[in-house]
Amino acid sequence: MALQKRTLWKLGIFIVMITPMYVLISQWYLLLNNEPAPALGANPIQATVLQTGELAIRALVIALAVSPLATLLRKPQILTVRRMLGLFAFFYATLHGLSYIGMDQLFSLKTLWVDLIKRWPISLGMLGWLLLLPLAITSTQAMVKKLGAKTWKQLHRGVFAVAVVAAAHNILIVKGLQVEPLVYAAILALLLIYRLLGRPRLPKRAAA
Amino acid sequence: MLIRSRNASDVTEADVTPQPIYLQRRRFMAAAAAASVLAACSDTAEADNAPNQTPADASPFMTDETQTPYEQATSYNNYYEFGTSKSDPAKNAGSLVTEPWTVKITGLVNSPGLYALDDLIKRQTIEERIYRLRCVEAWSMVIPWMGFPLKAIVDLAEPMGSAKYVAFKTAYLPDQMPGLRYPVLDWPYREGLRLDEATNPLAFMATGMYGKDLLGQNGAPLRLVVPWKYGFKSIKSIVEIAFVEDQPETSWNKSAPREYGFYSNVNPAVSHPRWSQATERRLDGRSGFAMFERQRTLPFNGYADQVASLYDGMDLKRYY
Repeated sequence: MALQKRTLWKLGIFIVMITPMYVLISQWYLLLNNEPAPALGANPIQATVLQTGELAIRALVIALAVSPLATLLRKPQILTVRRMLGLFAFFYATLHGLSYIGMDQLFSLKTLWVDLIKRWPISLGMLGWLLLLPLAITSTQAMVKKLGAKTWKQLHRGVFAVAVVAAAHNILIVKGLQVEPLVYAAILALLLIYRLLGRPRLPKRAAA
Repeated sequence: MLIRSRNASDVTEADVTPQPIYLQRRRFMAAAAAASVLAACSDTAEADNAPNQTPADASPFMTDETQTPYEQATSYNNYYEFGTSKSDPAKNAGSLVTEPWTVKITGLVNSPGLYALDDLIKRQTIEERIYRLRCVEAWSMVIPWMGFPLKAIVDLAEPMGSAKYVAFKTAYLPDQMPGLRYPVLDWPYREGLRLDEATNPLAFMATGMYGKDLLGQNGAPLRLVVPWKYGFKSIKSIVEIAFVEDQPETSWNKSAPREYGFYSNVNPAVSHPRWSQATERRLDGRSGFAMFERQRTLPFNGYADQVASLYDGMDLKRYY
């Protein structure tokens, strides 16, 4: 019964996280069939790029909140959804990059190159995705075994670098000084600080 | 107190047609004649046009390109006083009270005054202009505006010879504009033009669009439309027009001077530091895969014949 409950819980989170993707696909299906797609507005391509970016950073925030939440609530079973949430962050970040490069820039290699070398708010976004890539690849149970738990853990601390890069990309890419990217940055900073403050426990554990 | 000493018949420096415009008067007439010929055969001319080309306009005041649907032009807006997402202004601008509305005309003018908007509009003949609108974010629309030339306001104000620029201010109404709670920009929103830009026949004050009164999200009740510049120059919901000697401070330029210059003429050769300006996505209600097409952005948004001479001898890469 306990296992079943956990599976249901996981399935529920999966459905919540995949729903925006379902909405996006169905809206695009309408659009390409010459029907209006209100959720994407007058500029569906820009809306898609923005929405997938937003979803990526949201998934990242939620994934990073899992372990503090598990500690605070004393419910270690929550940890079982962390990998899925991290993979959702990677999934939406990939869609974000693909929709920008493909839909918006029509796979223009020239634009991509200029973005990379000259437009560093965009380069930062690319860097964030590149940093996320090895984490996604090594997310399987088999990889944990192959790398060894310690190495794997060290590697996956890299997610905090992703958080810093993603928050900076978000703040710098918008016009003017907007509030939402600052809110995400503040939440990510809190999660990071929480982790850093939790650090003193480590030497104790190492000594034991 | 009356300190006016000049006679009404005196001609000031500002009344004289600037030399560049005087010199291009024949060119303007020739262009108008050529345009009318083109309009006569526009059916065949258009059929040959690749989608990347902007069709030749029947008149600089009336492009015959496909118009943006009203629903799009009224639901996809940049008006940060009502929120930073594109759909926010349509959601929030209903709270904007535009009656009564007063416009202050001030600065280096012989006829300063506080005008009730109705009085200001009553003096004008309302005409239609169908202009391209090119946003700095690399999308564009085609919008039929209703209004009157900005020059009418300049004439009304009677600027002194020392006035070189026109500075505009948007209403600052914290009760009605939820976006003002956040320091996205240095409020109130300010924009400006050089006086010769302001008197160019293309510079327009809109009070309506698509045959209707302007909605809040589009800058009701009075907004500027300068079609050869990026959209943010076309300041909305104007409450003050000041004639000044020095180049006025403008909101976006103050926020990010490297990204938004004072002139901000549409220029495919000068990239925004964060994206290219070479091409644009036209939002004109097209559907299906045509949505993905990008078209080449034209210098001065296709209005070079009318305005390029304003910038003769200027390095437009420096004065972007």
